[in-house]
Amino acid sequence: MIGHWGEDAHPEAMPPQPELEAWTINGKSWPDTERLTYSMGQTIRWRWINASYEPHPLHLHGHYFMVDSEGDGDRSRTLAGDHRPKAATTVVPSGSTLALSWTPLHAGNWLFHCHILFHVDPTLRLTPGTAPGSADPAHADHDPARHMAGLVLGVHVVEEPVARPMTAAAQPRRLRLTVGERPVRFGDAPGLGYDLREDSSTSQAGTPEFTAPGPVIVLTRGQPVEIAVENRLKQSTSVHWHGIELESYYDGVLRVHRGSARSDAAIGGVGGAQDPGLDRTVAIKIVGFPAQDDLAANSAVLTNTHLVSPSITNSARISFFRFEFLFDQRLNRTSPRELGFDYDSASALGQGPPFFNVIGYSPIGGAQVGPRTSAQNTYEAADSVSWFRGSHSLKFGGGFRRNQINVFQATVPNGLFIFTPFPASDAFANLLLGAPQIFFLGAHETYRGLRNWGATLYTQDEWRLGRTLTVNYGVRWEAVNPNSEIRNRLNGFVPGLQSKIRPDAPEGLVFPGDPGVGTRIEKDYYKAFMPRVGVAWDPTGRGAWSIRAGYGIFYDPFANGPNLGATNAVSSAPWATGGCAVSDNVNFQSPCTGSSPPVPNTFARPLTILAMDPTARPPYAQDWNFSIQRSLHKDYVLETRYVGTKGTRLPRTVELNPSAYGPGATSANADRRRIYGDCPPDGSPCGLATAATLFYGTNSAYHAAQVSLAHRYAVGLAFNVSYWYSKSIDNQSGINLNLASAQTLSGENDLAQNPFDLRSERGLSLFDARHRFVASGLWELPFARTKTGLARTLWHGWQMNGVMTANTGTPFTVYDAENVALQALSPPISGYPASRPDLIGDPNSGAWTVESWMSRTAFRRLVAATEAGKFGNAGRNIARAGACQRGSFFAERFQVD
Amino acid sequence: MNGLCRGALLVVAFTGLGLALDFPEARPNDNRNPAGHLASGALTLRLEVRDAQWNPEGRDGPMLHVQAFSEEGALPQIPGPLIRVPQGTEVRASVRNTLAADTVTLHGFNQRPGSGDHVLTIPPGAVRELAFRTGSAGTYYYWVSTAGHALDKRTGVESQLSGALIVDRRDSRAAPIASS
Repeated sequence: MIGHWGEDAHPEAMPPQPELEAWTINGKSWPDTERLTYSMGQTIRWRWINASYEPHPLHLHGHYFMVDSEGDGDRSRTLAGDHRPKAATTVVPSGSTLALSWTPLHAGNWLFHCHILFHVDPTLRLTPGTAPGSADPAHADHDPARHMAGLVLGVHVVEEPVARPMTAAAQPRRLRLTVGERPVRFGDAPGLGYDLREDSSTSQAGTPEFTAPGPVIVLTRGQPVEIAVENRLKQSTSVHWHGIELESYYDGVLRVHRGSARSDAAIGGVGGAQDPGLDRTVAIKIVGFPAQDDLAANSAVLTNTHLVSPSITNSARISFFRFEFLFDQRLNRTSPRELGFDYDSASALGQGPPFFNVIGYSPIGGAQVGPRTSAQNTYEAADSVSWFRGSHSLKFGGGFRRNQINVFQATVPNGLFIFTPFPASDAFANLLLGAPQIFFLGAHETYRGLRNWGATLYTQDEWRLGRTLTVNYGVRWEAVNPNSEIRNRLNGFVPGLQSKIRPDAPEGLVFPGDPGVGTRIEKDYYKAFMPRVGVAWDPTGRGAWSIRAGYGIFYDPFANGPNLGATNAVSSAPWATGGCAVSDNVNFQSPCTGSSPPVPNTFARPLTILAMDPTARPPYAQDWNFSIQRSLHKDYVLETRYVGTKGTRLPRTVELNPSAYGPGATSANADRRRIYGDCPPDGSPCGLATAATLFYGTNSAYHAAQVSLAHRYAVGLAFNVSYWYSKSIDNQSGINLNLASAQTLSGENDLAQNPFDLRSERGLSLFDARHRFVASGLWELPFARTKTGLARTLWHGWQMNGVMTANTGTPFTVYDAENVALQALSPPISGYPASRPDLIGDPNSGAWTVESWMSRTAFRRLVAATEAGKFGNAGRNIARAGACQRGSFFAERFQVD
Repeated sequence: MNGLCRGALLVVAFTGLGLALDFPEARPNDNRNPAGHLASGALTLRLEVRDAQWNPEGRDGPMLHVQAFSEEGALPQIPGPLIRVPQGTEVRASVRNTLAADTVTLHGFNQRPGSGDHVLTIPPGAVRELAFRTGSAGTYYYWVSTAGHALDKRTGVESQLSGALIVDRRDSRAAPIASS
């Protein structure tokens, strides 16, 4: 018997959907509906009565059923023999009855459900906290208990030897259905279409011609058919087969992932990726010298959910993901030598014209950096078991992940000429004269093959202690592993240690296999246990109050993947050496002549490196929160919340070879004063210049209190007003992802002012906003609810939206351009010193005008003549920018019909 | 925990913020066991309409206040007790309205084929006795509104007052495996 309970006494009123409702089968809503277990071959008879107010198209997965009788409560009409409709879906109107019969022919788990989305929608559940998104997302994936509600029955068919009619052993007819794009269909925009072909053993069976609607598939009754579905779109799609019951968990919908070339509809599988199908975007870097960016993503996922028993569900998942990214591919392949220069490109793949930087004018020539190619394969297998046992909802599972990342990068492969206003007083004149001042030709190509694996185990229990208290607790374990490199081309730095793998390396630079240094430099970490606990308490048991608290530990991976140190040329000594750098009176035609470029596979002197720390352990965060939520009146929710986070062992880049200050120190001899510089007294080049190192040793703290008032959507109105008071402290607010280039990170120099004193870097975070106020709202225009005629056409569905944000300005650091401390530069971290002045007043007591924002008199510049070698005492991020308000207000039309 | 809940409910009742839901809990009815006593071609059945609490989403879900059918002396059931008889059986039923203020309008206690205008009104506190002979075999139901609504206009407290009435053919074998 299908029932409905609704809070609203007038379902015909606006809004038409009652606020709270429950759709039930025999007094229960999914997942609490009865689980039915049948044997194959058995005859099942069901009677259905619709005692609710709406009709229900009832749909059985995987099987057809016969409609044996229909009725309206007063009469019952029995259908016999050939008059019985055979269906997978049939409608039972309000107040009507239905008797049906069917025979399970396929073992497994099947659903019988109402096909109206709103009647199986989990957001309509009465129980708060079980809608999607509120559950722990890591564990809620593919959880049928959380992704449906209402009119759903679970049917478990067990395999038993039954005589089944054998289908004729005919050779299946093979078809290939291709989904693709039809260019220039809607103006310039493309349309989509289908292409259908007989026998699809090869995918090169001619060029597809996509049409919409697609071609008619004419089949012969009784003849087996295999249809391969190929998706040539840039995105995933799904092909729904009406009237054909696929043995698929997904309701006859075959999920076809983009680029997954072969998927056999007859078995509902998803094949591997075949067609890279690149997304092409041509990036014009400089007019006449275009470069091209391509990217492609392919994935294939196989999932299986198995109801082991009515209370135990097993979910298994195997997935493959490939991401390919080609950046700055050269379209103009003219080599420097073809253009008359006396040198070759440093990269065969990156060959193209040189780059000409004309100071004060637009640059010309081929792209300066790249090309860069990255291809990542991720293989993943995971399994989870859900077990409902009394008041416990237990979950445990684990997974294994393998990552392969292959990176190719060329840095300035075709040379870079810089024309300055010298010798002629105009850079453009010097270009015409052929008189560059600086030339740089990059090192040869960098190849990196990064490999990484990870494993996870977790267990979790949601324990309902009566109706008012729920305790959620669990622990997660992960193997946190850094990347290895397939040829062991990784650099570590241990001050004072001479490498045995490469005895010719400067002291301190170590390699995989050196004493105490693993194959990944950083060590595998197997102690990442992540306990977490959460409590939800409803003191009255009526949902008016909700008190929640939680605590958890979360580990992060090592930060040495692509885009970070491990793929950078300067972290690949001595394999990425080469090229040449010349300045002053460069010979335009033969710029490298006379210079002595570093020989590949030897160590340049002095050597610049970016290295990892063999003693590093992975960073982790502790999160905790406490909230009290109170439902006021009918539609209002008031919430107060406290959230705290402590980050431990966060990574930052550190200069481990800083300059020592002493008598005779000048900025000119800063590099020769480096503490591990190994500089010969005769003045010949030192062994080691900057030794930038990824160091996992800083902490962060974040505390925030929030008050918010929300008005749930009702009678055309919804709003949310919230206020945050928060404070965030850290040592560095982000890691520069483009190491080895002179730039700041959102205005912050990520180089520590004093490499000997990292503690003085501790200060407010760049994103600290002490006060933050957000108001947002939605108002459905009352006159726009009109239901008739022209007025409806014009106004129906219009609503007004607005959002307003105001927050305290972000903090910033005041730097002094003068390098009074006489520190050497650290190019892999930052292009310039991070010297700060002394603080002698309140920096935020300024006039707060455009001309004079902060108080300049609060700072004192260090005097080079008398204070050389000293660092200023002003902290990081002590000045604060102006408060920021943003608002937007717009009208929008929302139309369902 | 029960004590705690009860304590919390008492506090709420005391402060006057709401009504205590101290009604019996309706159990879900899987419609497998027929109600009443079947003997000598007649089914004797004693039904009540009463206040109940109901948790359609299992014990984790909220308790709703609804009206429900029960067999006299037993817990309320949602859906109402299953009436399942062979064709031609006479159903002799008493229906008690235990509700404090609502009048019960009972539909469906009549011979089939029938017409929907066959209704019985039971004032609060009253008992009505009725008898009818089942007609054609088929799937039917009985239902109540306590606000004078049609079947498809019921929501909220009265929405669960429905029960199945199944009339089996005389030649039918044992009860089918499952029914919903």
